[in-house]
Amino acid sequence: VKTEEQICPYCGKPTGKLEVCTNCGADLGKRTTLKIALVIGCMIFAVGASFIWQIITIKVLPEVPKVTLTAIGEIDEGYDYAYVWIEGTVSGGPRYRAPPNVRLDFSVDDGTGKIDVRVYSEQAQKIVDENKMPAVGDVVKLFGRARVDPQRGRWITLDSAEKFELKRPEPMLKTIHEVVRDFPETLYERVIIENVVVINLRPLASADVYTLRDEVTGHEISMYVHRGLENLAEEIPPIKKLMSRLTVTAGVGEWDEKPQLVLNSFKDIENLGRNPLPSLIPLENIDEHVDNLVGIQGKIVFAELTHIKTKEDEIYRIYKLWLNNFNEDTVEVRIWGSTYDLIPKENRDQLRRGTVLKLYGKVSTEYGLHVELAGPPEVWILDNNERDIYEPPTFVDNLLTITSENAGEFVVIQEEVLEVEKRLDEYPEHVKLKIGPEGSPNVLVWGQIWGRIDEKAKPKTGDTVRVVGKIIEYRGDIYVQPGMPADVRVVS
Amino acid sequence: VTIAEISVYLLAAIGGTLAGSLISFIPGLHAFNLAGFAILLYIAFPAFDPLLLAMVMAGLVVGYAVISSAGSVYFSTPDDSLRFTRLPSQRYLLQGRGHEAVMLLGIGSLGGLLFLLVVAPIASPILYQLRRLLTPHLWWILGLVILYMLQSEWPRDYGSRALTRLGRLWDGWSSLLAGILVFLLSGAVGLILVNRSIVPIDRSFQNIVPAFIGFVAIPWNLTNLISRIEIPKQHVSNTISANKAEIARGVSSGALGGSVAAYTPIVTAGIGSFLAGHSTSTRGDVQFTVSYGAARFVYYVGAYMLLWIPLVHLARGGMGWIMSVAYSPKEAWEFWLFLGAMALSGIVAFCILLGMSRYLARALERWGYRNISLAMLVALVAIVFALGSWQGLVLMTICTGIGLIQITFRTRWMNCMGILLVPIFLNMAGWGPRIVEFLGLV
Repeated sequence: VKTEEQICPYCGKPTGKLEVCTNCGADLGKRTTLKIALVIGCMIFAVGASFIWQIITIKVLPEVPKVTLTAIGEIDEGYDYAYVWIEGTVSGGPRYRAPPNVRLDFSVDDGTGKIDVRVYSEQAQKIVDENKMPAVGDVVKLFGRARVDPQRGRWITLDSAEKFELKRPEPMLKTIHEVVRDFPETLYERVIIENVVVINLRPLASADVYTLRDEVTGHEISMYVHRGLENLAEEIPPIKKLMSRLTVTAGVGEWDEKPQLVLNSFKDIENLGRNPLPSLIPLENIDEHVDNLVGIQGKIVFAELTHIKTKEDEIYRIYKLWLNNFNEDTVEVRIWGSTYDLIPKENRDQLRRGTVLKLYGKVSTEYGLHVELAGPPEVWILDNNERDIYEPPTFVDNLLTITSENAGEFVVIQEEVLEVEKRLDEYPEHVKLKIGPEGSPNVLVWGQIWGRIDEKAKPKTGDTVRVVGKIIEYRGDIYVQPGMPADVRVVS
Repeated sequence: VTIAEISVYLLAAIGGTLAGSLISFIPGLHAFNLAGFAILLYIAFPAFDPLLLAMVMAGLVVGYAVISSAGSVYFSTPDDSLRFTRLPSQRYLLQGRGHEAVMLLGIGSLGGLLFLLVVAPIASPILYQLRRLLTPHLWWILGLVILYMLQSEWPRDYGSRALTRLGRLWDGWSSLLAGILVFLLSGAVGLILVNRSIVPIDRSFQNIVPAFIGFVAIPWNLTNLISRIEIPKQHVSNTISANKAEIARGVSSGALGGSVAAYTPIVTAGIGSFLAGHSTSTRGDVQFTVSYGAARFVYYVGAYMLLWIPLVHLARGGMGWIMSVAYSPKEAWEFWLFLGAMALSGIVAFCILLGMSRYLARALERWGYRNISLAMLVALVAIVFALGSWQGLVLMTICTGIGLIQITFRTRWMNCMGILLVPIFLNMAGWGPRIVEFLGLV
């Protein structure tokens, strides 16, 4: 293509009549004006204007539904950071954290799966202020950002309280028996349970779990009350007493494949007063009252601090007391650490050998016949002067007479420590005090007891120790195991 | 929504475009820096409609994506995505055709905008499925991108006439090894920055800015000063030396590269265009320049658009992440509003670009290229000091050293993207925590 131009239109240098500019190399035959930009611009304007027109009046373009629900079961890695609408039934929660860092957590089940929902700061507070606190059984529709993390699971963060809709179904009047019998059909129902009695309270790290009993039918159900609810209540009904009588409105959730009532607000509890505590029974008769709440009375002959480790590697403190009625019938009482902490400190300090007390608990045969102290604990110290004339367990001066046949008996021994073997880096932590001649039992001190013994009072090799303890068989060997720090005393 | 409300939202977007055009000429400043400050202000004083802010941000990102190309051509202050197109645009500038290069980039941007507007209404179901399909595999896809980026490098001095075998071997491998070295060094800087804030903690959200300025802008300005480069008088032409087929091909290649970059985490328009260019055999300065204009528009604006697409609502790209702190679109009408605002802002931005390019062509002649480079250098150092104090300057200096390696050995600037690619790839693959622990960074 020849051109008549003398000046290159691109670089402004003389070109003569060449096809290609010798200065800039531009192909002078290819010339496109800015009309192309005008054309593209017009097309852009037309398309853009049609979108705006779409909002204002007519639907010329395929309408994207206002709210497209996503099935919770479909929320997988592909949804990480995606915004979704979900609709389902509240299956857990609410868990509320009070200001300054307000947070609200609950879970939603839509039949295809469950997912946790988190709401933070002012949006959480807005939900509370607008009286939209979700409860198990509520039907909710919400919009939020999904997160799917291989380690931390999946959840949705609700960014806007405005995009949270809640419908609460009318509760149905039911008995505990009906809820339990018809489970899982009753799952996520809102129910009113009338005239039930608190027979246990188990404080957990984040919640109180009550056990409620229908006094007529004897059926029981647990009720989960999250700690944060106390921050939302104007008035908390006095339900933290054993045998409190209540009418409860709650949602039916699930725990350990069993139905569990989940409380949404303390307003949903009506306090009807308190039933009398059960009557005392002789210790020798507790096997006739399995699964019942009973009162017992006796003298502490041995006290032990121990712990259990769950499958999930959680460690729970357990206190054990052995009571007797000044005869041979000794009964074991187990106290969960969290229940123990509810006992007034002055009474806790009295839970030692020699104290006579009265307490209320449920008889259980799990891991041996015992009474589990019910919460809120009703522990009455009847006589702590008894300790002065308290007769300790049998003193055994010939350790070789202690054999596996004596396991479970309480003894007092006094011997020189030959060696202190510390095993504090393995589970369960323990310290062995090797004593006596070859073949005699040694002393086994659990780590939590050893840690509570004053440093200066800890026995060393060469010390003579007096130990009050229980005879146990551990990993094939026989030991004398003290229950409390005071059970190990260096005498010389 | 009333017509009055829609009008206000559209005006807000145009306001954002004007703001974007202003910061496009401040070297080292990015639309995301301004957006970060705006969000901090909004969180402190949440007095107005967050959708209004989201519209301002839409205009801002559109304005920046279109107009910053003028500054990059005349002042050589490219961002991470434009650095890859430096050579074609630099050639135009040295031929006195800077305005033509700006127009090509601008037309590419308009093409990218049209592409987004056309695909947006049908993107929802496609991206919905694509996200489900790709997300679990993104880590190894990113790994392949890195591998391809490194192995597709070619020896710059291949065929030189060194006298010894060793000399010829060095000619062949020097730029390749330098490229890998730059990638590893920038990756090490990235690992440190992701896990430790080098700049003062209260400004840690600007942690990466001194590094990018050090990698890109400072080495280039230093080179301009040292080499005493002379820029000829710029000729403002009303036509461009290109035909419609080249423009169409450039736009399609750029749209492909920009789409890949917008969707894939950490992959920028430069890398996306590089991959798309190789895939579609893009050739010639016209196609390259148009494709980069389209790619960076689709990259910046398309990534933000992902946040608005119904059923997708994906926070990708800087603007999406920043804006999602304050606002998340929820309903379809907001999506249509965004598209309308994007179209309007794009047209306004292109008009500003044309006027601005003519002005800068004259300004370049009046002020002199070396003086501008010196002024840029001073401004960059001042900005880094303002954002990151003396620690920022130290970081910038270290990164300048790494950036100078790639200029000295003429390797791809893209290797500096190791700063983001390495830590993010390691984290996505699940190896990050162990490596960071091994390096003693936590």
